[in-house]
Amino acid sequence: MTDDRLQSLIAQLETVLILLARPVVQRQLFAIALIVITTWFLLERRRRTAGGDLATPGWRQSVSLLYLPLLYILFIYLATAAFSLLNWPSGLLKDSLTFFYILLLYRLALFCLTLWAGKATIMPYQQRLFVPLLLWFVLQNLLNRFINLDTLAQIELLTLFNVPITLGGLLTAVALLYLFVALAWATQSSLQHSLARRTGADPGVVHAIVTTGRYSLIATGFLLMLNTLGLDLSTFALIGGGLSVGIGFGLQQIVANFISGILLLFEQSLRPGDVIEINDQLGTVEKLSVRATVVRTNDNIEMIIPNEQFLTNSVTTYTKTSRLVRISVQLGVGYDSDPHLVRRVLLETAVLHELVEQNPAPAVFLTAFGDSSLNFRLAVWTRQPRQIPRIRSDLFFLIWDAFQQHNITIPFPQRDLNLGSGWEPFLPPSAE
Amino acid sequence: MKQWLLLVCGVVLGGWVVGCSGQPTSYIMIWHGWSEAETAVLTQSLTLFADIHPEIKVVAVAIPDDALQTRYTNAAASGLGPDILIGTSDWLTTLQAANLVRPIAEDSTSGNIYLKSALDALTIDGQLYGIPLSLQTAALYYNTNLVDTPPKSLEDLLAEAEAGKLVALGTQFERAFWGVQGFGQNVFAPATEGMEVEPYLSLVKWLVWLKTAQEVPNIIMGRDGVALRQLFAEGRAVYYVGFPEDLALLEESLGKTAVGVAVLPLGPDGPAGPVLHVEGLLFNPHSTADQFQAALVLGRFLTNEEQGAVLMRETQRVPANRQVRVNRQTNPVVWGFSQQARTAVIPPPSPDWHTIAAAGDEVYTAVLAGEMEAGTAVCEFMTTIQQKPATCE
Repeated sequence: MTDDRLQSLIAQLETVLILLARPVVQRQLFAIALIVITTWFLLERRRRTAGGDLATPGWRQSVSLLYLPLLYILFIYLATAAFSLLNWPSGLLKDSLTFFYILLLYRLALFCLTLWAGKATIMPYQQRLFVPLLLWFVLQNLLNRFINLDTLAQIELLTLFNVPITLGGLLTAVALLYLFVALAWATQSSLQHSLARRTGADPGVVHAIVTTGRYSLIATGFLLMLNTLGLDLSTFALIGGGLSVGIGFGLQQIVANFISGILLLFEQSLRPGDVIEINDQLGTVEKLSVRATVVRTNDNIEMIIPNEQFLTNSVTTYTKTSRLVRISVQLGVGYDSDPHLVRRVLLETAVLHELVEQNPAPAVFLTAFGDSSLNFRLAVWTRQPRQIPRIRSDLFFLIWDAFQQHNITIPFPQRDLNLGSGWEPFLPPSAE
Repeated sequence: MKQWLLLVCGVVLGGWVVGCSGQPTSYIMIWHGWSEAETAVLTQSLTLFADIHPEIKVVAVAIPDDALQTRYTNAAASGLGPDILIGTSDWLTTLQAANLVRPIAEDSTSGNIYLKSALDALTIDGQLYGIPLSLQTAALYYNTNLVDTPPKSLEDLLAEAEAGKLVALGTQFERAFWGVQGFGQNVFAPATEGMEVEPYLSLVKWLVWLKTAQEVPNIIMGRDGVALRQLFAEGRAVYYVGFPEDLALLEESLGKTAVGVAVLPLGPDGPAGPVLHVEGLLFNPHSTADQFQAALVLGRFLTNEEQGAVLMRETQRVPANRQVRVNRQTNPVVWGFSQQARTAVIPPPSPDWHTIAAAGDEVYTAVLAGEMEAGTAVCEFMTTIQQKPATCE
C-alpha cells in the first residue's frame, strides 16, 4: 500500500476518532449499546424460563422472532424521548430506529415465510441470502454515518491488467458474486421442488434445467464481477487463448470432466435416482454436478466419481428406461427329488417376497442334469434394483425353508474313492 | 452484536494506527464543497498549517457542493459531522434555528480584521456564528475585446444596448435584484421612521425599469442563467450580470484577458446593490472544547492575511479579511467583485434566504410577464420578507 493510500485510510480512522471523542456521540452510542444488551438479556431470560424458544412449537416460535425488534424500537423511542427532554441530540438514536424497523420488517417477512414453508425450509435461505443482505445494508449505512465511504471506496489496492482495483470495487464485486451464487443456490433449491411437483416433469429433466440455470447465473455473476472491477473481458479472451494449450495439458482431466458433466446433464443418460453398477458396486445416483457425480452405495458410502468415467467406461444402469429388472437364483436339488414339485415350490416361494413382482410372473428353469444335482434357475422380477442383494438373500432363506418342509434335499458333490492293493499293512488290525 | 464488536475492533485498530502515525493532540475535521482545483489550494494551506501547528491534525473532506448543507444538517443532528463547515451565510438562519451552528465570541476571531459587512452577514441577533472567509456577489462581466469601459449607469447601459451591444440580464430574483438600491433604498434594510414606503417604491421602480428594458432590442432577458452565460461565453453578448462561480467557464471560453469585471451600473438614486453572500467557517456545536479551540485556530489561520491573499490569487475569491490588499492591476477580476461587494446588501436572517428568493422569483416572473401590476406584486413580497403587513402607500 503506498503512502497516499495509507494516509487516506488513516484519515478515515481519524474521522472516527474525532466523532467518537464527542460526548454527544458517546451518549447516543452508549444508549444504543445499553438497549441492545438489555433487550438481549431480557429475551434470554425469558427464553430460559420458558424452556427455550426452540422447544416451543408452531406459530409461537415464529412470533418470538418479532420480540427482539419490537423491544428495540420501544426502548429507542423511550431513549429518544429522554434525550429530547434533556435537550441532547438524538440523531443516531433516530437513525438506529430505521435499522430496527428494517429488522422488524425482516423478521415479519421471516415470520410469514416460516409459517408458509416451515422453519427447516426457510433457515438455509435466511443463513445464505437474507442475513448477508441485511448485514450488508446495515453495515454500509452504519459506516456511512461515521466515515466517508466514497473516499474509502476509492482507495486503490492493486493494479490488475493495468486496471486499478479499488477497495470499493473489490467489495462490490465480491458482494455481487456472492449475491449471484446465493441466488443461484436459492433458485435451484426452490425450482427443483416446485417444478417437479407442479409440472410433473421428469426429475432428471428438472435437474438438468435447474443445474444449467444455476451455472448460468454463477457465470453471469462472475462476468458482472469482472465488469464491476473494470476488467476488460477481451483481456481475458487473449489470456484464455494463450493459456488454452496449458489448459489442454494441465487441466485436461478437469475440462474433460466438466464437458462430460454437461453432456451427461443434456444427454440424460444418468439422472439422480438412477440405480447403477459401477466398479462392481451397486448404488444410487444422488447428485449430478458438472465435475463429478455422487453415487450412494448400499453400504451408505458416497462415491464421488469423475464424470468422464461415465462416458469412457461402460456403466450398468438398472433404471435407464425401466426400473423393472430380473434376478436369477441358481440352485440344485438331489436326484431323488421330484422336479415338478421343486418347480411348484420355487414358484410358490418366490411370490411370497414383497418386492418380487407378480407380473411378469416368476419363472423356473431346469437348466442342467449336474454331476450330483438337478440344476434349476429361479427368475424373478423386481422394481427395486437397489434391493437385488437383499431379495436374492431373502429368496435363498425362503427356498431353504420350503425345501425343508417338502423334504427336498440340496445335495453336495460326493466322491467314491477306490484304493488299490499295497495298502493292507497300513490298515488297522480290526480291518483284517 | 457482531457489527458492534467489529466497530469496536475497528476503532481500537484505528487508535493504534493513529497512535503510531504522529504526535497530534487534537484532531479536527473540515467539510467543504470546493472544486478539485480549489481543494488543491486548500490542501496546500492545510499542509502549511500542519507545519505551524503539529499538535492539530486536520482531516479535510470534500462533499459535492449541492449536497453539503443537507449532509451537514443530517450529520450534525446526530452529533456527527465536521468541526468546521465551509458554508455560506445563506444557510445560517436554518442552521441556527436547529442549533446546528455554534456561536462564537467576536474577540476570539480577531474580529476587527474582517469587513463589517462580512461579519454582519454571519451575525444573527447580535451573535456572531462564523468566521468570514470570502465575499460573493453578482457583478457586471464585460468582454474586454469588444468594449474598453463598461457603462457607469443604467442610462448608459440602455444607450449601449440601443447602439447595438448585446446585454444578457437574468431575471431570477437573485440575478436581477441588484438594481433596487439604485432607485432609492435597500429593501432589506430596517425601515426608518417616516420612510417605511421607500423600500417598496425602490423595488417597484426597479421592476418598472426592467419591464421597460426588456423591450429594448439588444437586451436579452430570461430566467435561464446558463443560456445567458453561454451568450457571453460565445462572445455574442458584451455584458452579462453574473457571479464569481461563472468566472472559470467564461475565462476558459473567452480567454483570461477578455473577461473583465466591473461594478453594476448606478441607478438614478445610488449605486447598485446586489445580494451579498459571505462564505464563512461555521462551527459544529457538538465538537468538544478541545476540538472547538483547534477549529478556531484553523479558522483564524485560513482567514489570515497571508492565506486570504493565497485564496484570492489561486481561487479568485474576494477576501473577507480587509488587511488583504486587492490590487487592480494584478487581480482585476477580484478587484471588480470586491468593489461591487462594498455596495452589496445583506439579506435579513429571517426569513431564510431560500424563502426570500422564492417569493422574489414569483414577483419578478409575474411582473415581467405582465400578469401582475408591479405595485401589487411588490407589496405581497414586502409582506413576506418583513413578516408583517408592509407599508405600500
